Amino acid sequence: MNNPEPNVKNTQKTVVEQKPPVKVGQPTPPPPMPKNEAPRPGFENIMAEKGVNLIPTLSKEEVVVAEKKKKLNVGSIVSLLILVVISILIVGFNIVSRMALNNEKTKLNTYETQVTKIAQKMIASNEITERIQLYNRVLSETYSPKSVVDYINAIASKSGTSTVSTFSLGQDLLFTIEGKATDMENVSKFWYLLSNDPKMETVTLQSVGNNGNYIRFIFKGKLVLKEFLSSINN
Amino acid sequence: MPIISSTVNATKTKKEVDAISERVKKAKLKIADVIIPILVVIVLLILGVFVFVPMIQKAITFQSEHKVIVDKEAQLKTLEETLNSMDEGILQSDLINAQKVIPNTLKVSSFMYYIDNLAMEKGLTSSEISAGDIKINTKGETTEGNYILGVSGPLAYEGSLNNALAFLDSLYSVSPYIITIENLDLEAFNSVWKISLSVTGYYVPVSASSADIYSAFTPYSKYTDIVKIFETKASQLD
Repeated sequence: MNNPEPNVKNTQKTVVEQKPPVKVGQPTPPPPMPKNEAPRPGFENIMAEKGVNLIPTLSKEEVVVAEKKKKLNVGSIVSLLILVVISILIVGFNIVSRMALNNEKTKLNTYETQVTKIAQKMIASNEITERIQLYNRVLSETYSPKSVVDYINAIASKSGTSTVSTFSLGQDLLFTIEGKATDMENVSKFWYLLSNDPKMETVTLQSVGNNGNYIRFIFKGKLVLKEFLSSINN
Repeated sequence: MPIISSTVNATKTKKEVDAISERVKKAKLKIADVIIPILVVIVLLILGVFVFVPMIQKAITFQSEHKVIVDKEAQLKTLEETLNSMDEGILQSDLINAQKVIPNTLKVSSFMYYIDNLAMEKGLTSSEISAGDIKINTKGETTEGNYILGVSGPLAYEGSLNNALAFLDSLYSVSPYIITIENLDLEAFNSVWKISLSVTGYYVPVSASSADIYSAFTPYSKYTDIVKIFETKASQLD
């Protein structure tokens, strides 16, 4: 550190403390000081106890520069301190983070070893779950064909003489039924009952024709799937 | 005012003057006075860019990695607790039941033999039997792992309507296998009904012997109702 301040002070002190030559045996009386009179500013620098100080007092500019140098020196120390503190903080944070991570990794490895020992249970459970999911997927949208056939037959018998001789059931309960009735009135009644049935989503009369003694009909439509699911999912 | 004595040594005066000029010189702000703060700032900047910033970045990575590991630990802890709560004996028994109902392999011959026997029990006579292995692609998924494997084939039988309906019903209710029926046709010829349908039985091939302990785990015990169905169906096979 370059700190010239003490030298300046020393110099000043040395200069101030220089005593004027004194003749032996003739003590110089101190200058008369009027009683109860305050010394003028700067007087104490010029007038030492036993002599005269020839060094002039610092000018304002010199005082400002000296203060600035003093501040700069303190600033250097503070800057160095900040540098050291920041370095310690960052390195410390890094080391602590790494240590914490390593510690957790060790703990995780221990856990992994423990869980791996009982992983066979997990494999068995997964195998059962896979089958359960397949069961749900496959049987979630299936219906009981018997209940569908019975239901349509029940409507046909309500209509009078209509009988169904062919059932075709496809995906999502799309159906085609063929049958015969004694007259058109029974066919139209059957059609009406099918159309107004709450479990019937859509129904259309595909064809109808007179075949001598009886009337043949073909209906196409779709049943409400959810109405026929519960009967098989047990 | 004090008077300076004439006996003042000239040398001393010179020294005093030198001291004054020295002090004035020293009082001036020089480059040497600001060199340390400037150097410290430069070193700090260099260290910051090349050492501190990478170190902080690494420390942040450590922190995020630490968080991930803590999460994994929590996940493993939960998994361990769940697995420990499962009784080994019950688990093995449930697994055997599930494998009976949906086996690891389903032979076409044994499946068709079972269906044909059931039809004969219900008083139906077979008119067509054919079957083969199938691979069903699940909705919109095309990867190998998303296929459902099964045995399927068109079948045709003849008999009374009541027998045909009883047969259809028993395929679901009595069959120990998981079965679906598609394209069902029932057609009456005088008093004889011809039933034609497509039957599919499913199986799940042997899965990998190792499990990913970090994958999402759902314990099978959540589906107790279906486990019970498997148990009932498996007992029918014994």
